[in-house]
Amino acid sequence: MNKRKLLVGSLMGVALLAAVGLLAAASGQSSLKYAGRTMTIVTFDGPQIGEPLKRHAPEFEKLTGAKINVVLTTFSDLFPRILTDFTSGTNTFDAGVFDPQWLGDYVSGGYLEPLDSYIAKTPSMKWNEIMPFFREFSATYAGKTYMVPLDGDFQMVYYRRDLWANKQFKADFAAKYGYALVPPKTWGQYNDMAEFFNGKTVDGVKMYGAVEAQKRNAQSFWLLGSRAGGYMQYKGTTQGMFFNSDTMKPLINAAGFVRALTEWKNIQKFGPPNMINFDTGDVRSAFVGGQAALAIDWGDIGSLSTDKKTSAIQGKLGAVILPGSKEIWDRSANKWITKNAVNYAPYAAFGGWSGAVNSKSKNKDIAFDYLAFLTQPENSDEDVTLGITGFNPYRQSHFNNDSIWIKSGMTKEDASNYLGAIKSSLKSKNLVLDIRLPGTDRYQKLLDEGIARALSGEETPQVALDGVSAAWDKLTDELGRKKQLTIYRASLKLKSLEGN
Amino acid sequence: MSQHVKPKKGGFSSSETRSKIFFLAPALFLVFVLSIFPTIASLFLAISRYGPAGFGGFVWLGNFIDVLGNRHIWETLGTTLIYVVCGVSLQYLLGFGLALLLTQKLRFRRFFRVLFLIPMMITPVAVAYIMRMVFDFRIGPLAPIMGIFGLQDVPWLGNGTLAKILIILGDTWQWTPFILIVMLAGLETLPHEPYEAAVVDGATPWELFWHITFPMMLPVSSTVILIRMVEAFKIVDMPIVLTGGGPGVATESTTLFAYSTWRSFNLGQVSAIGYILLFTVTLVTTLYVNTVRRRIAGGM
Repeated sequence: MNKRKLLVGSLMGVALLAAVGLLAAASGQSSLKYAGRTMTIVTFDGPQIGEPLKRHAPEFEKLTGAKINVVLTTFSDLFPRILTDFTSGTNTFDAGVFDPQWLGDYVSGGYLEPLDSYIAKTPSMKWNEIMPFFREFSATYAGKTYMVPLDGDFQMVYYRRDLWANKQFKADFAAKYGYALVPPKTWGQYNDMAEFFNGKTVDGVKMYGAVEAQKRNAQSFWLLGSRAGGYMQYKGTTQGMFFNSDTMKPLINAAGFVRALTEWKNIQKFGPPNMINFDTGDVRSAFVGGQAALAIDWGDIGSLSTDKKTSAIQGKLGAVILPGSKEIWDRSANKWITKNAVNYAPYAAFGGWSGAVNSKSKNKDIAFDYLAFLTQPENSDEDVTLGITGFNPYRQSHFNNDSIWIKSGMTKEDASNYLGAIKSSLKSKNLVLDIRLPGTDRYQKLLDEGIARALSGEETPQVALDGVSAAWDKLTDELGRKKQLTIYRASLKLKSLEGN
Repeated sequence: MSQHVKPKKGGFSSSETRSKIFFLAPALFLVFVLSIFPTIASLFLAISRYGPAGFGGFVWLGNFIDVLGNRHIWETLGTTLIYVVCGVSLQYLLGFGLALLLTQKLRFRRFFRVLFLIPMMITPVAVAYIMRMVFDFRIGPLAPIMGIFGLQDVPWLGNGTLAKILIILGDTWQWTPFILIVMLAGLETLPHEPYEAAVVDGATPWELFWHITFPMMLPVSSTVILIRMVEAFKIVDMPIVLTGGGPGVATESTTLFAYSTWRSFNLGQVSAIGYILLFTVTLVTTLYVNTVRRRIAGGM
């Protein structure tokens, strides 16, 4: 009998404790701001972009009680998939992390929530520490802020510091080309250096002069922009490079672009035999694997170079601002002009992965808070240094704090070289802005086809770009020239033209 | 006990008619939802301007005129036809040949039957990535062999003709097993008597094949070729992974062209491309079926 009482008593005690525990847990849950709610966010499955979104979700869930559902899709499908969700009114996605170039289409349709008031109420995201270009240009459209930057994107030239420091190479190069072997300042020098190193054997590896992404339906649009900037734009950012800012006539077949495309085709001689089929993934693995002397890429090579398992260039990484030119195409006089100094025009290609909130979402508060959580220095300081993420530096703390880079495995010299190249691009007053118009993807697709025809030799660069120009003109008419011109001018921070 | 059953002439209300409708309704519903509705919806899109801002009004034949007036569609249709004709022919020859081999009394015959089917069971995108590794002659598994012949530095995927050949080879690797399995099933149902009679008459193995096996397999062959042709017109995985449609537009199939148009959310034009492809497939397969039917009716 005593045993029975004891057993019953014990069971009751356990039940009581469990009930108290459950109550405590429930009260704890309910005290969390977003308990019981789920926020769905869509992005690229790279995994470069999806990885940090998934990695930070559990901590955010713990802090807020919200459930974060990260939906991943291929880059090709990202733009139409989000748009399908928005236009159909399904609104499955509360937020998305995507290319800021698509703002033209998303904002025009009224699909995105302006974030200025949210930002003002969230000091923890340290908005003003985000570098001005990303904060004021990438994140904004028609005067309002629609995006939270999570990535800083500039293309730059990477080179092998060890090769450029080699005394024998220095002497041979000077003897052959008549000037010193230093990181390239002009596209002519870049070409010479690619030619010089192509075929050289370094540490038992036969080197290629340069690796660049020339594949169809990949990143060639941005690569051509990077190569054309120095020839096409010299009066500062507001000059623009892609269209005449008074008439919206395309400049894509101007002599500067034709020259850039011609030089880009010629660089095939100093690259891998299949370079016409290389995308950025191939470029990165070839350069980080120690097979090439030069490469053009976004900041990703910097963080990938720190991976001890895959990188053959740790401690050998050099990076500089995209080369420029002393010869510049004067679009109004229709002739080449020569300057005494090199004209640099770094291209803000793509603009950096950024997050936005669906204006029809029922979870706008969670969506914004999660984006703010991702961008705050406590999280982004680590993200930008990890090779697995596609996030590159975009905050003051990313540039001012060497220790985060050294902790990730970069040498002090690599870090200062890499960050220096990004900083020089960011400081430029002649930064080339990427296209951000309604129909951006269609403009890019048309150019991609023209570039591919020229690079494969199907057409000359001039004929290919004439074809692109005609197609762009037709597209502009279809989408409304007046409307496109107004948006293009606004993107360059130019005043609207009267009568347009 | 035999009983003449007079067919009932009951109208819509008869119980037999009701039960027919009851049993057919789910299938009809599925056909409507999965086939007829999308066809009508895509026709609506094909005659509309439909982009990121939604419906932008009817353009009637405008999308068709725009697409057909662009040389790009003709280039991709030409490339697609090359994939269809060359790829399916190669797959048929190999599939039929292997099926004939597998009907012989070989050791490990069952093992080979399973082995040959593996490529067909892998998802097409994965096959495309496998091919991408295989065709990387600098660091891929074939690199040592290509190195012996000095072919490592040949831009295989950078040359339009070579890239097309590699895409056809990749497609052939994946789809030959489908033809193999159908042809094998057909071969195993052939009667023995004609062969025994021919052997008694002194027919050679080639004569047995050409005068007995091939004609008797013609209905199966024509069906399997038809199925593969329709499928081959939709090729997209291999070119998108291996070349992205390049170099230039040399390896771009019509489906890839449609896909890249869809990526830009130009839904009107992508639907028009879909209808053009549908028309082409229907035209080519009808021509093929009529030709084959005449041949079979005329005894080759």
